[in-house]
Amino acid sequence: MNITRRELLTLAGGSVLGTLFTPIPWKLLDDSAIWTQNWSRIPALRHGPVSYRLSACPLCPGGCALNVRCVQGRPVSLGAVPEHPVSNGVICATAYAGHHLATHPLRLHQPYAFNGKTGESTLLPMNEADIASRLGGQVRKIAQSPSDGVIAILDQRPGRAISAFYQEFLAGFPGSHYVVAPGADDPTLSALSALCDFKDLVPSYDFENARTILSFGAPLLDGWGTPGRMYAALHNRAQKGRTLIQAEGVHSRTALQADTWLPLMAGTEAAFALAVGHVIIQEGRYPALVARHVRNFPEYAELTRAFAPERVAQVCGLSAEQIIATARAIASGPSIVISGGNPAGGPFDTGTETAIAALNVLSGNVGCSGGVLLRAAVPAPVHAPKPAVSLATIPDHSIKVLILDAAASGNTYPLALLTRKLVRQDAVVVQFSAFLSSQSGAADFILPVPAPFESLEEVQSPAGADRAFFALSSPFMSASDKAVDPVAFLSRVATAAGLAIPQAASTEVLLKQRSEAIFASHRGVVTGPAGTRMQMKDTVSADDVWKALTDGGYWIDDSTRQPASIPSALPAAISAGQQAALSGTPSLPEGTFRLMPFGWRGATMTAAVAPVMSKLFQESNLRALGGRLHINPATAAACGLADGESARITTAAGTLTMPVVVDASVMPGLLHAAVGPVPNKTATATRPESEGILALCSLQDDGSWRFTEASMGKA
Amino acid sequence: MRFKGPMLFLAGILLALCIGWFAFPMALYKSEPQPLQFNHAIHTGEQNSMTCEMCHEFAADGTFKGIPSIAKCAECHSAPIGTTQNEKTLVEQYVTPQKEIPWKVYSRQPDNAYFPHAVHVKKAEIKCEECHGPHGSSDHLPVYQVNRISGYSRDIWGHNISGIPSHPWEGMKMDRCVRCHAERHRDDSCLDCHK
Repeated sequence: MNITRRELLTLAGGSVLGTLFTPIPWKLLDDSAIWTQNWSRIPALRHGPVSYRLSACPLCPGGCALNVRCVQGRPVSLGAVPEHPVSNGVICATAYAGHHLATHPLRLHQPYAFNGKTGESTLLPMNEADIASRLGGQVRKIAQSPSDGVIAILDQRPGRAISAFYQEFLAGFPGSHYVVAPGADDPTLSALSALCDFKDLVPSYDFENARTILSFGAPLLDGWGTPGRMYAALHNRAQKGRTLIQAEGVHSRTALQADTWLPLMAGTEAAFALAVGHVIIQEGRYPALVARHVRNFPEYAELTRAFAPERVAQVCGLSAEQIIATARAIASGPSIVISGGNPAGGPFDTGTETAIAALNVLSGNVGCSGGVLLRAAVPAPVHAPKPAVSLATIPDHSIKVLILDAAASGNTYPLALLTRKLVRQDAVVVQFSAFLSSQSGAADFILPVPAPFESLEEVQSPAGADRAFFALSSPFMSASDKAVDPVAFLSRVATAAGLAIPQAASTEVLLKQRSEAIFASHRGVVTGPAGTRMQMKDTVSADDVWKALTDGGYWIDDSTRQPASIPSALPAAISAGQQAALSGTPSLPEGTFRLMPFGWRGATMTAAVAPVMSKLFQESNLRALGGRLHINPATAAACGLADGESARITTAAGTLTMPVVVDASVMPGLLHAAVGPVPNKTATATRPESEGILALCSLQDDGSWRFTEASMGKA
Repeated sequence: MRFKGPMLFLAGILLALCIGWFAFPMALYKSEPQPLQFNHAIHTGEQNSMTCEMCHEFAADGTFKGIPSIAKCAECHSAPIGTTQNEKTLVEQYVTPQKEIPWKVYSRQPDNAYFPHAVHVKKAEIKCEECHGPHGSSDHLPVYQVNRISGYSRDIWGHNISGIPSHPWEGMKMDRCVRCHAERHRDDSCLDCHK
């Protein structure tokens, strides 16, 4: 039988059609997909003995303890430590994937020179020694001729052993600045420190004994302080007789869970705080001691006279009754008034922060249980010789060499805050960082430091902690041999400059010195990884303390006896400009809105969050993704915008187009701009992510950028 | 021949169907012997009345131990019980030298799938048989067949090459997890199972 080519093709055609009705193509497709998951070059989980070790989380100043699950010594998951006195068996979503950060796509593996400022955005591989040599030359010139510009170090997380080293290093340079990064300090406690003389003690919040907590937008139940502590203090509030009042222009997660949400018009916080002060004074609800001993009481009473609740109610979006009820709640017992906690929006302006902090003084809650308590600082081996300053106090165009510290503060800020301080020509910015971050855009040289959990890092008392605390984030992964230790690098720079500046071998040496200082203080208790408690005064040696700390233990100070009296003051006056602003929201021109950036601590940029968590944020709405504008439906309607459409936002600083999320939780007139991870490859291994909405924010003279007047239209 | 073309076309379809439904599974899977035979029925039957959890136990920290270690077998089989060849092999080759038995696991999942037995067995009170079938009453181990491409057991896909299960317990693919979670109104985000 002859089979023609046509017949063969007919048979083949039938076979192809028939094959489609068999499992062959579909099963092969499925199995092939699974086969690609098992290629030998794909990293596979190890199988073997499971072990656990303790560490502490260095990803923000929260101070949470971690239980690290390892298989064959390799970390596979992070979890909380039950009944830990600081973190109470809770860690945040970011910490759960903290061990993934070492393999983040934006991880830096070697030193680079960066020419992002030229617009080419190219990373040029460099040698650490060359950078040290070039920086040494610059530093030598500064030491010889400080009038051409000074050197400054921006500390992301002050109070650490390395912070003292920075201060010692800078003490050798006339006119140098040791700068605390914006948002690194709690703004209310900072403002209180300006009103009260705490001497060497550190103010903190006694949430555990407070009756009323008035929060001006602080996300107390959504990532503020140490999450475990806040959960323990604020859950089951009704049984504890505790009330949380949240005052802010967004129905945030904390506002949702608060006992009372006061939908306060953004920008009227100071007016509201002074109105609360007005009620307390007019109704005589302040302690008699306050009137007798607090400086400027009469002046403050006079200042608040203009802020009657009926008048303030007209501008701040609340009723007079709400203001009066809030004042009475604060004055009814131990209370805390707190602001801050916007890691992307920074603190309010100085006047507002002072007005908020003053309520703690007025209600007599400074130094009292349930209010603002004082605690001793963590013992340090040396007294820091160089006082810290804020960026706002440094003259513009005065810094010639700026060094950016590597610690994760959890916050971010507009780069213009830094760049406007640099001299106009030949300024050098050096960044220590494990990742290519949005701050890398301002750097000339980027030096890779070990990623979290790759080196010993210091974890100490989080802001507002009621007792001094110290722990070490002990490494469970090895660092690259190209990773740079900032202490060793700066010592090398000093040598290259030929300067006699105090030097240290490494960060670990500094940490050991701090551990010895804690031992020498004879204060507090060290708890080892197995739960063994060693009273410091009974501890055998400093080595015992060091071993306990490096094995995942922690030190907690004794309770601090409160001073009999704390010299305090109330704000006596406000500037004319602030007076106008504080008297209410000046009505914005037609078509103008108030732009407010916001973000969550530890999640303000792509490089800060493990990719799996960025994906989770995207899928679950656990955290807002960066580059989205949340606006009220009424605002959207007024601008002709619908959900998902692009809006063009214009401020004095520029224009930006971003997608709109129509969100009823945001009050009308407010542009709530999310700053966070942008998992769409805007950042690559060779290009930092853009600054986004922060580049549009107007910087006030005091360094704040919370609110910016903006116009918006359809893009 | 008048209908030669359509006949050839139909023949091609039939040929493909035969290959796809009968020859293809035989080519796709290969049988591999277990190191020794195991009689579940003799353990769980009237004579011994053992429950699944007595061997497939949970550790103190709540993790599921899966297939019992040789130490567990040795609790009863330190010396041969009976005269079968399997018993002899068990004691001589594994119990006495304390060597783990290299069982081929029918339900082995990829590393990226996290299945906590404790949550399903203890909290949701799902019986072992609902996923693993009536293993406990079998007097011999089924033939272990491995997929030549993916490397996983045929039991993961199910014995029917169409993927339609012949029994409720057949198949351990993700769609079954998703379906069961949906039926029980459980959350099913990616990170529940893929850590």
